[in-house]
Parts: sequence; C-alpha cells; structure tokens
Amino acid sequence: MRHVVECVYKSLNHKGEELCGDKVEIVRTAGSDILVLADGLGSGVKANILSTLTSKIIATMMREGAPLEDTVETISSTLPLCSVRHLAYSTFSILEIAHDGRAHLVEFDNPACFCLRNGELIRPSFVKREIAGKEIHESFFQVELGDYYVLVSDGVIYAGVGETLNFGWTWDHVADYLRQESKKRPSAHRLAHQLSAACNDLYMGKPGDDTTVAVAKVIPASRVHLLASPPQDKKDDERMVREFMKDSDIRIVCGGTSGNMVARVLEKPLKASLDYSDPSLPPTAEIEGISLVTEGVLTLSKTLEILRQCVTDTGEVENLDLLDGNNGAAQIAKIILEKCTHLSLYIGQAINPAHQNPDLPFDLSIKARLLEELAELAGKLGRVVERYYY
Amino acid sequence: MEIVLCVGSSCHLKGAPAILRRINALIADYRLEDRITLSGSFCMDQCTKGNSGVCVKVDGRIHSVTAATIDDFFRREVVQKLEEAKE
Repeated sequence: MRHVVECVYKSLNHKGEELCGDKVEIVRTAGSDILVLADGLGSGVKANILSTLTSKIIATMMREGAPLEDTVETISSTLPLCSVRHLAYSTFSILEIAHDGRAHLVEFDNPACFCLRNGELIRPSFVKREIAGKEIHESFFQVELGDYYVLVSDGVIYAGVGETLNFGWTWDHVADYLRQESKKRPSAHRLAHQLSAACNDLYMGKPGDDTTVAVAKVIPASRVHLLASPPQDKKDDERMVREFMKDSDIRIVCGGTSGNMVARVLEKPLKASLDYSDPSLPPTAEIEGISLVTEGVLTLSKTLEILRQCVTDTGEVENLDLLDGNNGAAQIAKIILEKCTHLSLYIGQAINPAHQNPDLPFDLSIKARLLEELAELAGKLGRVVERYYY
Repeated sequence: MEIVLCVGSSCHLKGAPAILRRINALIADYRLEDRITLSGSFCMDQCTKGNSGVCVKVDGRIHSVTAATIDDFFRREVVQKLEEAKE
C-alpha cells in the first residue's frame, strides 16, 4: 500500500496559562510514523514539564526501537513527583502506523482514540496489560486509505463542563461530531482545527483545561511540483519545464515570466484571468496541463503569511476562511496544507530586471528568500521537500 | 478590437486593478461591449523600459497607461480607431 500518514495537532491552553500541559510529538522513522500525545497532571509549568518529558521519552525510545515495557518503565521512574499530590503522572497515547499499514495503538488513561473509516466509527479490540503499575490498553490493527485517527486530551471530552454543558461534551458526542465531519472527507489539518475550534466555542473562549487534538489521516502520496522563476541560462528552459512536468500529481507555476516560459515550452496558450476577487493580489492564469498558474512575488508573500499562521500548533484558533479565499495565494497554501505529501520546488535563478525597480512600492527582488521560507514551512508541516536549482 | 491588460507583478503594483476597473467603465460608457474583447496577460516584457504605467496592448500594439492618462488614451486609441474602422 502506498500511503502517507498526515499528522496535525492543535492545542488550546488552560485559560490564563502561557504553557500548555498537553504535548504532542510526531516522529517519522524509516519504517513508521509515530504520534504521541501526553497530558500532564494539572496545568501550567508543572503539567508542561510532565507531558514534555513523557512525550519526548516515548518518542525517542520508540524511534530507536525500544520495547513498550522499557519505555513505560522509564517514564514511571523518571517523572518528578508533584509536591501537592505526591504523584508522578502524565497520561499518554501512542499511535504507530508502519509503512505497510499495520498500526499499534497504546493508551494510558487518555480518552480512547477515535478511529473513523468511511464515515463510521470503528473500535479496534484491545487487550489490557499492566506495565510498571499502569493499566495500558493495547491494540493492533490494519489501517486503510482515508482512515482518520483522532487522539485527544480529556479537555476535549470535558469541553464546556459546568458552563455550556453540565457534563461536558462527552466521548460519545465527540464521536458523533467526528463521524459527521469525517463524511465530508476533510484534510487532517481541517479536522484538527474544526474540532479544536468547536471545543473553544464550548468553553466560550476560556478553556477550563488544556485541550489538545491530534489527527492522523491516512492519505495517498501526492507529489506537488512548484516552478518559480526562469533559469539563469535561457538554454535550460526546456530542461527545467520537462523535469518540472515529470512525475507530479499537482503542478503550480508561480510568476508571470515563468508562466510565459512554461506556456512557450509546452506550446499551449496562457490565459490570464481578469478576475480580481481579491484586489490586493494579481489574478491567476490558466495553462492546459498545469493545475495553477499565479503571479510570483506578491502571491508567494501572501501564501507564506497564511502558512505561517497555520504551522502554529498552540494558542489562537486559526481562521480557516483564509485557506478558502478565492485568490492565487490561498490556493497555493491550500494545496500545500491539504493536498500535498511531497513538495518539489523547481527554482530558476534568473534575475528579473523588472524586479530591481526602486520606484515600486514593494520589493520584488525577494523571491529567492520567499521560496526558501516556503520550503522551510512545508518541512515543518511534515512534507518531504526537495529543491532543484536552475 | 482586442485589448490585453498586463496583470503581472510590476503592472499590478503600478495600478493594473484600477486601470481594469476604468477600462470596464469606459467600455460600458461607450457601449462597446460587443466590439471589444478584453483579456489579461502576465508580463509583456516592457518592464525594463522605464515606463511608469501599466502595459495595455491594443490590437497588437503595446502602450503604457496610467490612471491619469487612461481616459484620453481610451478615446484616442480605442474609440477613435473603432470609428475610423467603421468609415
């Protein structure tokens, strides 16, 4: 099975706290993807230290292939005792999905993982094990393309407790919500942010507990190729376009001159639209065989603005409307966030003399830097990024 | 008659959106909807010529147009030419 596990998480901090007491670690090894969610006792600094230690130890030991027993025992004997409660305690969930689709789920005192397949809840059977005095639930199952696995801290199932809801949102109702939402086939990013925003609403913007959502979605590999700027040497135009077109699922061309070059090499017309749905950005264009053709620097600057907001995992709930905007920048951001597992940048190093014009109200000569930042942000989002220079 | 407006980065910064709005308004004022096709283009390779305006191509000829000159330009290069063509 050729699949990729897309992992996205979002945390809301306990009201008034600068630190979150929940911690998520995402580890990609040669053979599997590992998602760890830990929820430390209490809130603030203490909880943050407990959950950080727990998730880091688990992630590091699992990455190096340590057995579960050793990992759990290490946590038990390492965590500092809480001076108030005389406990060393952090809950955790570990979801490991191997590249052949075999999954291993280990849970200790967190709400049970929500497993969704084809819009329905599935409940993998689990066995109870006791390790270092902790009762652990362990299950083994096989994932399928399109599956969602949602790990949450208890702040999610207690969302709104004593405020908007007497007993909080509850596991069953969260499950219903996820079942409904999953039918719309959202990206992991969208589902994580929707669930997190729903919790924030139930808490009326003031979470009574650290609230964390981590979504893993099993998706097919999708290779996005993005071409920006023509090559330094005009002789390389054809080679650059040929390599850009090869082995790609989605093709984006960023830049007017680049668009003209691609159109010329492919011998297809470039049709620029005059639809200024967002007057601050130049419109997009069409070339047959290319998914998206946009203007360059102004559009990329805006794309980065959107992506920067989306890579923050904690704090403010982001505005998903930004992604759905009808302009070139939002369309690029949306492709990278929701439809991309592998991003290849084809970067031409020609200097555009028009961009050196000091009379313009915007510095257009920054494209190279924008592309480096795009690569960096895509990397943070878990995309496999490659860069080719011409 | 074919009018092509550049919507590339430089022309965008030089005011292409405002020029487009004005051209659309002028086309409506002169009731030329049936006689003009208006389309967009990414860069006409004029950027280094030091023009301060937005590139507008009318039947293959490239002009540089600003918000201050668009009305005169339209009368001279579009309305007048269309009338000449009629005669």
